[in-house]
Amino acid sequence: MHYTHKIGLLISFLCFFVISSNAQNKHTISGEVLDAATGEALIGVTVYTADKTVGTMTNTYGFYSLTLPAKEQTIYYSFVGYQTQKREIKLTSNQNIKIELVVNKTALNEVVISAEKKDKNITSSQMSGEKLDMKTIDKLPVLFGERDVLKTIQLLPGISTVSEGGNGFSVRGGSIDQNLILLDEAPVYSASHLMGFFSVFNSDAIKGMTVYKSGIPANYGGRAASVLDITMRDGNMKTFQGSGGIGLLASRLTLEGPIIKDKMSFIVSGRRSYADLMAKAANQVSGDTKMYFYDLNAKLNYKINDNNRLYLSGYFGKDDFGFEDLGMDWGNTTATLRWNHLFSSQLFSNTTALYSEYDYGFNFGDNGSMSSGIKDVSLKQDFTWYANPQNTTKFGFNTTYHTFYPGEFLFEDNSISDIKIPEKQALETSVYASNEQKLNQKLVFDYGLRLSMFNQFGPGENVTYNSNNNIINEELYGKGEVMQSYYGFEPRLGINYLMNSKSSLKLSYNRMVQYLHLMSNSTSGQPTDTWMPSTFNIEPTTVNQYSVGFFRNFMDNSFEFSIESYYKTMNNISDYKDGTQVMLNEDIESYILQGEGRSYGLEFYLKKKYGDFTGWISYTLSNTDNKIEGINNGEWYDSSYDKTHDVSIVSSYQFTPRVSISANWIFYTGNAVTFPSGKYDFDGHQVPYYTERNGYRMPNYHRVDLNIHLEGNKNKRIQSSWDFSLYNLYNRMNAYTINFRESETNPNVTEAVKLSLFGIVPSVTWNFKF
Amino acid sequence: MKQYLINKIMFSFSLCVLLGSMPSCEEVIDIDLNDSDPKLSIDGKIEMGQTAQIQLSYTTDYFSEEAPNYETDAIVNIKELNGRVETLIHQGKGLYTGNIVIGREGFEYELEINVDDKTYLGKSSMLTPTEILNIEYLEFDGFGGSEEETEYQLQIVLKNNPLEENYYLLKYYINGSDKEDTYSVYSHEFFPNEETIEFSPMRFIFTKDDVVTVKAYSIDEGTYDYYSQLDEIIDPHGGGSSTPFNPASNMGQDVLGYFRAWSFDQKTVQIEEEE
Repeated sequence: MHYTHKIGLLISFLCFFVISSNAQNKHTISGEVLDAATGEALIGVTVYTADKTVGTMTNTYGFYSLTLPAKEQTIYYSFVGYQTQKREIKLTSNQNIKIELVVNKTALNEVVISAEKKDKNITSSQMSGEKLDMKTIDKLPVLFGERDVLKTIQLLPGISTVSEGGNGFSVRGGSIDQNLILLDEAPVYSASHLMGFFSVFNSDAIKGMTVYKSGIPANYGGRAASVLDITMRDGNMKTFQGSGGIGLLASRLTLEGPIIKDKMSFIVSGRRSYADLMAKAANQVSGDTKMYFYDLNAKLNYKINDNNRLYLSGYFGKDDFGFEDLGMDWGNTTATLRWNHLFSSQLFSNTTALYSEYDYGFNFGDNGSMSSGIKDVSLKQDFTWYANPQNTTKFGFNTTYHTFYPGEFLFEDNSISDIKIPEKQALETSVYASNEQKLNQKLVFDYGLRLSMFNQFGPGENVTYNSNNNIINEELYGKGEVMQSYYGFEPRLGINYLMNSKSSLKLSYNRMVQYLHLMSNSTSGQPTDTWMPSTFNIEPTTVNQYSVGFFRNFMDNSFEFSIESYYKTMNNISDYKDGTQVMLNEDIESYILQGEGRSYGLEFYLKKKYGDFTGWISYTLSNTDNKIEGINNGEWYDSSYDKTHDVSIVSSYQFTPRVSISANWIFYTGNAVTFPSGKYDFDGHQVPYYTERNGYRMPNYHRVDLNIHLEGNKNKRIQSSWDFSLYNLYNRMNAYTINFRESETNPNVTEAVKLSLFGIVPSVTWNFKF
Repeated sequence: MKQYLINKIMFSFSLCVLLGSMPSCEEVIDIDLNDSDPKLSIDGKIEMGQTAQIQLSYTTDYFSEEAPNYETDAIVNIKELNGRVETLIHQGKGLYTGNIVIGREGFEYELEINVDDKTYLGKSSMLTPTEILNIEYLEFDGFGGSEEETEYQLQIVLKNNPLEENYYLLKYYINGSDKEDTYSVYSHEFFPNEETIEFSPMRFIFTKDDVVTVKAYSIDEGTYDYYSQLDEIIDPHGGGSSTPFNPASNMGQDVLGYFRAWSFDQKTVQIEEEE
């Protein structure tokens, strides 16, 4: 279909909503819902009428809009962990009503693992989406005392760990680069510190996050498997406060407060590891040794008036490792400027300007240096139109200019020639529209369409290769000339059939197009991975996913149960020819093979959300395989992300108001790997002989973690708490890698060597707040 | 393939950071592996001034400690392109050798092997021999070094033919061992086209009591590629490829191993204690 026809279709699609909205004598109540103590916007507050027939929820910025018949209305504002507020309103005109909810003191010590509406999992048309707040994450056992949002989501069904202790994750068989990770809307291209063991997200600066696995809303795009949308805290609008923690690996400090009370606030949160400082103090390493990471989150928000609000937020993080003559560093920088504007009480607008950069470099002292990275500049416009209580429409556009720096190696010695792989540039643009339509009390549709376009621009050259990776043609393009264009037609659909007040049946479909590819030597992701655009030789990855799920709540919504099934087809997934050198390879495009993949699975989820005992059990049974010409003789083979069984049991018990214990048990099938099925002699070496791709499995993985949380006296000026964690309680030496080699003591003997990273790891963290 | 060396250095460094930062533990384990059908492996070479030596054997089970089965009924021909042809004679245990065709500079050699009505054919060129002009040793103060004793690395100067696309394979032997401690490969792309090239192999570190012998082979591009790939398989810690694979043979698609024509020079060096 021609692209202009597609845009025409999108406009027609949008008009359908307009026509379908009715125009009775109604007025709109709108405004924002805030935390009374801090002035922070509350996301996901339920706003509903007394008869519970009409309702809405606050959006990411705490904004709500509800259009109701002109008469006396009783409106409830309800949020778990807060006292519900009731407002009697004589609705004779549009009204702006700001609500400040007060924390429910009786619930202060209660463990609540979701702050959203109690039966939202049943009533929302969104499936395969999970919202986690920081209270959930704070209570769970941690590695080296560092709370980690990325590790927590790996305990959910359909989201699996790709390597021990790592932050790379696979969603429903997708590769790690198929996850769109957003921090205040800015994409984060490498979300890990310390070679992948710690995420870049400082939990003190995070308000919450939502992960989408299927039925992905049309306002998100650009990645094939999932979206992880992380929101930074806005900062306290009422009073100045600080918080922090001292752990074994790193310490952190957060300061926040009003600049103009109830108008303007700030938050600054920093974290730094100090293994290097301790090692230097103990004279274990030389003064030139660098071995640390740090990050800094900062945010300003300014409420100009009831109709306008500005947010400026940023993240800057770096890892630095090295010695006198050799070092490596990498890090992300993001900046987000947002303007919330109310065109009317029913039309909410958010305009965003974004900057995101990721780079890494090696420093070889007197020998030279190497660097690589990616840089994005984006403009986004999102509208939400609360047309009537039955329809909420979202539409907007997003345009991103990507600059790719595949890499350069500069030698100090002029006698050795430098390696410089030319930069690549691309413009990714999309428009979208979606509508959530409540057809009746039982049926909700959420349908949408996203149209995307990707253009790679010159200067550059489109190179044609033969099967031996030799260049057979080169076509040069000047600055600004379009080298290659791709288009994406991405329909989204979610249907929720409310069987009764406790059960619902949901269906969803989404098509996702991904134009960016991660060139990686590993399945788990390393800081040295390089992002590449879709080009003349590399086509975009497209995924079609169909999901169906049954959701049921028990015991006054205390227990949630769901069973979901999905089937996913993947086109143009990438792998490499045997022996490909990924880094600094000028002709990497000729080594990339593309083919198809498929993934299907069943996900069970049982969660207890309220009470002294909380937690969840998640179990995923799935299969993911690939078929790529040139690999495994063109036959289907198990994907590296295939995990047959994946189980997480997460539990937390509040013994007393000040003592809680939590524990996890994690089990999953070992990754599909390629092991030798024989060996042969060559030039004095015993060389492994491989027969099929991913024909073997790593040993099954399991471990138990434990955390004891002790809360200090809350009446003190400085409140403090302690966390004592034991990671891998039963000290199981799970395999990180298995290598095959000649024995070091007897070269005539070959052996398999298992490398384990973590046995039992104890840690302690002291947290404080003032 | 210029990035091969860089890749290796950087991957090794990343791994050092990773493992150095973590309380890791290594252990030899028992693991069940499938036993594949035996596959023919060719280890063929012709050296400058020498006759060809071709070893034919079959793959064995990975953990087998017994000698492999050898191919003893093959017809093996070596041909100097535009020159003489010779059928090699089986000397036992799958080793075939010749008497007539001797490796000469500037010539291309073709090896033809016929086993069970299947023919395997591969070529390799004898490039200009190199010469080790100088070997020195320097104190090594890079990452991963021992804190207990002084370590050294080599500084090697080789003779290079600037008019040719040369590739080099360097094998390092310690204290008279027959088996090299490790090896590294270098491409002409890495160096300017000058008559001498100089480098320090970052992977090979030794201590003051070691007697070090270096063999510098002049090889062609195909041999360079093969040894680069081989290194990733036999030394997975030093490599960077995500999935293991069989290095591509120049003797055909359904066979393992390689046939190469090469020449070499060797020198030995021993650390002398500074006064």
